[in-house]
Amino acid sequence: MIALEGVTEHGLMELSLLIQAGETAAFVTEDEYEKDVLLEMLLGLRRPAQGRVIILGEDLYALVRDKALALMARVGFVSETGGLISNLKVWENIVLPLWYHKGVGPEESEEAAIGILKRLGIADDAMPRFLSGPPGDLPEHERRIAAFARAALMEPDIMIYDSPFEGMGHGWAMRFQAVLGEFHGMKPGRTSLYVSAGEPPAVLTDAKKIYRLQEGRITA
Amino acid sequence: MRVTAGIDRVGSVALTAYSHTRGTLDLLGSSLREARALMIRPMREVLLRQVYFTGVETALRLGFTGVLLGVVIITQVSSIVGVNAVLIGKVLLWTVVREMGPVFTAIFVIARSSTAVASELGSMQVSGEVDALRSMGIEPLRYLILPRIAGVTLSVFVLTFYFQAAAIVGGLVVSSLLLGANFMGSMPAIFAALGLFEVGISLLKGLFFGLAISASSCYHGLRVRGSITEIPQATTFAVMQSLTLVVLIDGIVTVAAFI
Repeated sequence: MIALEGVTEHGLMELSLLIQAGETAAFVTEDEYEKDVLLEMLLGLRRPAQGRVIILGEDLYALVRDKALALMARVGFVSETGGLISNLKVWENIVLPLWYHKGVGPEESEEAAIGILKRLGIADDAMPRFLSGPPGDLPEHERRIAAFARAALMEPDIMIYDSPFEGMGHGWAMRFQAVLGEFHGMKPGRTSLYVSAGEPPAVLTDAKKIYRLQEGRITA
Repeated sequence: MRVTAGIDRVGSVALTAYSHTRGTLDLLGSSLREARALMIRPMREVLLRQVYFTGVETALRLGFTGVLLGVVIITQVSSIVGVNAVLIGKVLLWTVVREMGPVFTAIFVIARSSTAVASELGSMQVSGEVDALRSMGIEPLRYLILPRIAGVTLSVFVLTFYFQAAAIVGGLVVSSLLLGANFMGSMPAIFAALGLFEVGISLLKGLFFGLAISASSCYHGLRVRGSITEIPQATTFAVMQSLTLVVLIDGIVTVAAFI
């Protein structure tokens, strides 16, 4: 579950919303800056000037550092550009959180990771190229796919997507949305939030709630 | 007016230097408190990579430089005192072990690793990768900083010993051939001049130099905020602070140990 209670920060005014466990929601901001501020607050990277950010029942910014980090380990995030670590290979990026948090090494998570990537459309013969190079060698939509695999391996309770279908070809976007929809249903109570600037992605039809931001306030 | 402006400038520089030194020490202290995290495999991977980059990849050049330095010292001393194998050997030992070994090694590592670490962390800051780690619940201090500090420090410590060995043994061997002096036969007498205390002090310097270089580089790399133009500035600050701290630590340890 995700909740904002009277959150005010940098042009965002007294935002209040509640996304229950198990729901899929979309949040549409007017511009990229508002979207970035909102995402930073949800991901524990920017404390709001006022209000509370509640993640899985916890006030995120009232927690001590280690507890906040442990909470963020239960939140998966796919950024628009992928958010991969540039001095690690793509494969190392994918296995890193699971390895760090749960001690599951790359060898043990290989089968599950490759299964996810195949489901997302990475062909067998493209897999070595996809996994063995640095993230900078991949086009943006493939970096997002890698970021999704990285998040999915952790089996998060919340998934947050930043403009996941932006710039993707229609075929890729449809396949990606199908997999994200399946993934949402794979764990009871998993919450999915899609955040975008401008308009909600046309391909997104699963969202139960759509929140729109206008002049810093939620209007719908 | 010029005098007061000058005083202002000196004061400003001093305050900035104090602020950076304090920030570096804070970062070092915070990292050392998390030392247990090195038991976790992902962090050990980062540590090993850092040791490979700072230590293994530097070794050949550093060793070659050590041999050359040994030859230079022997040549200079022999031009003053003549070809007195035992005396020359002892001067070589004292010079390399007490001062040149730790300081030369530190300068090498600053030139190679300090710049690399500061610019790498700076570009990670600019591209949002440090925030990406936090958003995954991975503490950057544990995953990025601690292994780099440990890796660079361990490398400097080992490289100091390695450089000294290369300078002394390599210098004596090559100089035996060039000068015709019987250095090899005089080895026992030469090495009798070297005490455990001197070796210990040189390795202690290596340890402190490693901590200073790594912490300075990480601190200035992390100071980069939003712009790539800050990265070269951070790199310059890292190098200058590392050099200053190395000289300062060298002075303090030398005076404390040998006066």
